[in-house]
Amino acid sequence: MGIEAQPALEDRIEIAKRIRHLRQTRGLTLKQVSDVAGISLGHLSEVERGQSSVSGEKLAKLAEALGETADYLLMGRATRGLIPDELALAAEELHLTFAQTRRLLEGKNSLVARRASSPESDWDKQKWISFYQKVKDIL
Amino acid sequence: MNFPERHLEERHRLFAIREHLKVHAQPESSDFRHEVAAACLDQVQPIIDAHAHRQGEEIIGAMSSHLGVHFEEVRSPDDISRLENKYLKEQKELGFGLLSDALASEGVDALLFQKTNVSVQHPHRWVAVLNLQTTESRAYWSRPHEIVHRLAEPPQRRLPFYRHRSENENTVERLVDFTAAELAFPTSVFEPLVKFRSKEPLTWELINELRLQFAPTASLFSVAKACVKFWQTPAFFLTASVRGRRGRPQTGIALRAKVEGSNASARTSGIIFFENMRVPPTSPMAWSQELAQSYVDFENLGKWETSTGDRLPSRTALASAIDLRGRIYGLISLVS
Repeated sequence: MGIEAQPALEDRIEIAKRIRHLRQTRGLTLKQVSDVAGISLGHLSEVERGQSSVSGEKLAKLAEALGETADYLLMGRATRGLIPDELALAAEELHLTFAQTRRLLEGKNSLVARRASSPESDWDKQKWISFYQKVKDIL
Repeated sequence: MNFPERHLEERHRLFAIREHLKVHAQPESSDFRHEVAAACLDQVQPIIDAHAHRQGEEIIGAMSSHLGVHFEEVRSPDDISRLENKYLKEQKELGFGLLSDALASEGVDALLFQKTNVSVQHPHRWVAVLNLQTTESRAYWSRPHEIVHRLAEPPQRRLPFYRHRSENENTVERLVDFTAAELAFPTSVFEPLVKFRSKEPLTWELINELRLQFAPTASLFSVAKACVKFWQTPAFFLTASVRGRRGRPQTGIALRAKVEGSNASARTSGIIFFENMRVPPTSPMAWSQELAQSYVDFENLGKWETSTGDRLPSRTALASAIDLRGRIYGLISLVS
């Protein structure tokens, strides 16, 4: 994704603005975000003021804590359909095209809510393969 | 998901609801749930008004049609096959490839799908699948619950999530349930029905009659909560089961009560049923548990005692109790 590269100052300030805006509109404190993202409070504060850049890994964690994508924090545009690692592994094994892989993800995401007494187990490669087997005739 | 992550996810959703409904109160405020409920109700009040003399099922049906939510019910494996044929094979909705596995998991109440092969104007853009394979008790309640998720939350595909009903600490689900009560038993329709019967004794017989009159598919539990809310004199809805003390469940095993609902006048009556309070043997609720049958009789609330010896004020109340699968349901209404 190229997010390891150090952004230019003006980009860094834009990223900082997006992070601060998202945090504030979601009513989160610096401490709450730093706890979840695993970034020190001081570093996060500097990032929010554009005084410090953030690594790709930490940017991804920040994005997750703020309920957005790393692409959005970087570029300011909403992106959807990033391929989860487990799906990518399944797609590789099944020799799926990118379009098929995206469609599989879209199908899974169309189940938007599940009300249950226990959480659903995580989706591993095998679960993606099972889902593919179920829908392959219409994929 | 660990605690801080789950807490944050809930906060994201509460703030998303606040933004979406343009509610002023902050999620921490005690006004928040009332403002959310009012904002959701505003969106469907014209539908409620237009169906004021209809049953609850018709009102909820009109709301769901308006919002593009189509409900499907699953009672057997045949129903699952039927839905797979309809949505997966015929309409090529890939998400329904998850249906059988999702419903095979224990404790799944409902699934909500957003169709991908239809336009945004499609009348049934969302399909809510209600799992009634093991119990019908949530058949009515699940509908307004899902409708509130549609009303209160921004377009959900932006933020896919899963909801867990057993997480009592889940603030979003509590908020949705609070609001769903307003839709399931709308004040403008259900309160007059209850008021009309308020000269009669508050008993389970009356609750069942109101259920059959307004929402035959609703559970006694949900009707009782709504009825107590609109009752004209102080009233409580309790449930009780045999269990131990709080924090020490192996000790003090007895029939212990939990308040499920009360009305505004009950909350200012000076009667406070403490959490996990022991049901005295003089209460019709205790008789109902002992003999597994229903009882209606007067009782002195002064016989209710806490483990530290405190007693409720000595007031006469009418108690109606029934045993539902080992759980005692009690209606307590103060006699003036």
